[in-house]
Amino acid sequence: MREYWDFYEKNRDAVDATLRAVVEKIPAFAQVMRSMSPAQLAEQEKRGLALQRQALVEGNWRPYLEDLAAQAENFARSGIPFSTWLPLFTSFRVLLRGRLFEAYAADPARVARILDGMNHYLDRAVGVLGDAYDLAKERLIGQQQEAIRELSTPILQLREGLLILPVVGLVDTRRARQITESLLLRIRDRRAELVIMDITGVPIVDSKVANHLAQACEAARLMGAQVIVTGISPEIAQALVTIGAEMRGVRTLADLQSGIEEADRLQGFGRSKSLAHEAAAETA
Amino acid sequence: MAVTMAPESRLPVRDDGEIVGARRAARALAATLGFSETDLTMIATAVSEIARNMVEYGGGGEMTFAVIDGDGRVPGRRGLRITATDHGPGIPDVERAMQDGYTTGRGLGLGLPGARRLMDEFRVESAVGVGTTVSMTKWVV
Amino acid sequence: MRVPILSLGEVLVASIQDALTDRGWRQLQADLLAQAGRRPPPGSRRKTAPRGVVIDLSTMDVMDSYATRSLDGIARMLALRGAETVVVGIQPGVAFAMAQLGLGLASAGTAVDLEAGLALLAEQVRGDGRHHGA
Repeated sequence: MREYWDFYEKNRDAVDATLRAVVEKIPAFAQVMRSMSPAQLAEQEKRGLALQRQALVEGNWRPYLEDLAAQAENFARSGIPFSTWLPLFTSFRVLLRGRLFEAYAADPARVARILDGMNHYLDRAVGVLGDAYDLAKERLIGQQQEAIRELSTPILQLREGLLILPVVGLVDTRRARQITESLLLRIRDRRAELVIMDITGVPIVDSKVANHLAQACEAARLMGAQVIVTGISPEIAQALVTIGAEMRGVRTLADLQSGIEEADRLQGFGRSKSLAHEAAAETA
Repeated sequence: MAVTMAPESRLPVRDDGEIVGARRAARALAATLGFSETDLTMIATAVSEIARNMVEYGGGGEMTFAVIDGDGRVPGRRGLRITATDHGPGIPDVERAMQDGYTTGRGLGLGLPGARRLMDEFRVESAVGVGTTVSMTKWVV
Repeated sequence: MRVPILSLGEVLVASIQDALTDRGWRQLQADLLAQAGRRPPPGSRRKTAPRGVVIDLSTMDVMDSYATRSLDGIARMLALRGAETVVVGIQPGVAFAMAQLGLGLASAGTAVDLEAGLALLAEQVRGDGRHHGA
């Protein structure tokens, strides 16, 4: 690796000049470079070189790899694909290899050593870049999912004391938690006594989802609000009974309209009636 | 990546007053890390369950609270790690103790499985006649 | 620390001020049971023993399994003494954690705050009067 570095340093000016020409032909990179002043560019180059030297000569790779990862993250966030990097590495390999053969044609063992060093170094760098890309993309997707989740579960007040919560889309543990948390906050803020949770738009209700929903209902009851779950399709009813996840203790109805009728009845007759209902459900 | 720990705080947990003290300390430290209100409550509840287990079955012990900076995969990710150690009789069958409904004392047996549900990471090490160590972590988001 | 218990007509109100110790829960249980069954002194306007108890948890930031079990036990014991229990003011995070632990309060009614709790008790007590023996 050391030998590779020495060779690279000797040829650096020529290699870098050629590489710069390659970079300028890649629109994404050219744009990044144009956005920086010559002084900034020079500064970055100097820093990159120092870090690279530290890695290859002193064996201290971490600062260099972290710097690479940070760059990759920036590129990933700007939406520049990973493949944009590859021509750069290829050009670098070809360029250096040519110069190497020219310089040490008489010493093939040396050429091999330096080539090995170069490949090892480049592979490591590409690996880190790739991982950092992946991670940055994953985070980006995670943030977007979070944003969508927050948008996707509105809680509406139909009238005093009555909230409607239409749940649309897949419900995983995270989303169930987010839904439950916002429902509980809303129950407190609106002093709600009744909640209709409509799950018509939830494509899959397995035992895990059923369990999450039951937990949300229980938490709401602890705060003084009764939850009616509506939108149990024939398929979901069959599935829930078959897997033995019937959400016991939760009032469920076929569709949203039945839920609203039930709410009318409960609120119209006053709260004592709703409690009578609960008491009946408990003794049953 | 780097896993650095802030200076730990350490509290004895020997009676019901100290159970309250432990969950207050956990909540106060967690609040400085930016946990949501729900997370703070979950942490304090898990601490309460584990602390009570320690008092009831382990003859008391101590708890340490440590801020963790960065886990293996995500640098800069912060979390709170709580470690509870007692020198009580130990748990003969940890696997069984982690199941819902298992109990040896007056509790409902919710202690370990309950706390596990409230935290992100949860580990129990126990040796009969030596004692029990519970280590649990919650990450900020 | 002892939880103060207010008497409002036929209803007792216990506001739990802070994280209560296990001993504190046992004390509260004893105090509530003693007061719930106590008839008013001769000559008072009120003739019956308290029919309802509101337990206000709005400042509690943790309800672990012990506290929940204690509370549910208190509600069951009060029912044996002829008093209904309504628990009010459980905060969102606390309700969430209780549900995660699988803890319920099967023996007590719940309401969002003190006002709603008193209204609920009033209806329950009236309802009991109407459907006597139901």
